[in-house]
Amino acid sequence: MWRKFLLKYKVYIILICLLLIFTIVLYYSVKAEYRSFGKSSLVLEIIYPWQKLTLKLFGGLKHIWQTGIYFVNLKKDNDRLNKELLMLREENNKLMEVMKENERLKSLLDYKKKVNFKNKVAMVIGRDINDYFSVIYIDVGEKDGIKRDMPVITYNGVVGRVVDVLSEISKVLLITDYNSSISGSIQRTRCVGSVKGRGNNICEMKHLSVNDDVKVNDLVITSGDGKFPKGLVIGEVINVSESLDGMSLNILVKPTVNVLKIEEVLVMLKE
Amino acid sequence: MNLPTFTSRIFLIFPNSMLSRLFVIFVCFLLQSSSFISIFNIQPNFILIGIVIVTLKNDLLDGIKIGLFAGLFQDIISYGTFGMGLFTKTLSGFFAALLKKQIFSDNILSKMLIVFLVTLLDGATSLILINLFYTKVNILNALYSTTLPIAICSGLILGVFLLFERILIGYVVNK
Repeated sequence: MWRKFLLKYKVYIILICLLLIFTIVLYYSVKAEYRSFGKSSLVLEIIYPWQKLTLKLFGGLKHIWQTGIYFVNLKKDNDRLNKELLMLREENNKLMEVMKENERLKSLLDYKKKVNFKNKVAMVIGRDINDYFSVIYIDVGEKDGIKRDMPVITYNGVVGRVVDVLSEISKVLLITDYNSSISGSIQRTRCVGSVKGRGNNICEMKHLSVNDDVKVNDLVITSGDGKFPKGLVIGEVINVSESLDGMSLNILVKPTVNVLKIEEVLVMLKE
Repeated sequence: MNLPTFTSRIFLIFPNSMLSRLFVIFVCFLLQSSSFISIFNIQPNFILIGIVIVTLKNDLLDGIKIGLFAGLFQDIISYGTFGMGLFTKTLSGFFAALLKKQIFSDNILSKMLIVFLVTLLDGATSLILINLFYTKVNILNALYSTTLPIAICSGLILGVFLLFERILIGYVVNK
């Protein structure tokens, strides 16, 4: 009878056993704060060239796609106008792209001059595959003098901090990640709290009492207590409410940097 | 073996069917780590799309195997602690196979629906695990604001891909 039962529900039993094992693995890895990245640099070294190739391939495909869309739209006109318009638009597109890139790099360069710390410009080459952890990869690593815990910023504000470094790439934990926590203060009233990631491009400011003066649209900046230098913009307060215990405030902060759209960043090297 | 059309073509290049399907999952990982394809700033979950594409119909164990591989790979290269990907993706692989068995999955709409449901389930599982092991999160709120858009986006992207594939096959057959 048992044999029949086991055979009938074999798959379900396997699934339940596996899930139990994975829960135990997860429990112990959370307890031991085990991060897979550091142990698997070899895997990433293997994946990195593929990732680079994908970026190039998709860059090309995107270009072909855009050209294709233009072609479909302009096919209604005659061939001469079609070709001319296609060429002009393509050229315009390239120029716009160059112009936008110039604007971004100029802002970054201006900001770089203002920042007292030594810094390094880096390009974002990839994102974490998990929807619930916000991590990006940048194209600078140990060779460029990057070390763990270095702050990563843009001219708009704080992006995150370096959590792992390989020879040519580094992993940056964004401020919106559930694991991220930095010390911040309200610019207007100088109240200091802890800015934690909430996922979905939102942060939460904690440890502020109900008596603290915080309003919507207040700017949140780094307080200088942690790894980040003082005065860097983190974000803007979008919601303030009392917590259930009535003792503290629940503050939602929208980062000034759109972490989903970052293309270039500055890594602040330690002196 | 009841291989999906897309995989069966890759199967011609790689003689081992499991190898070919794992290759599809690997490509999905590369797509997921780049951020080229997005709808209104929302990136679909290519790994789950890959799992739904390559999981065999009527084979729950196969779904578990594919999900386990995807989860293991995710855990190796992702920042999240070890075990999260294994748990969520194994469950997603199983449900992808189960839904393929339950829902008539040979048309585009049902495949889109399967991806939508699997993404929702994966999100719900991830959020429950985050709540249990990391930090307290409002699950319903996060499901509505994060998982639902990803699920819709993933379904749409798979729909577009399958439509393209169908048009391409029709064109080749007509030729």
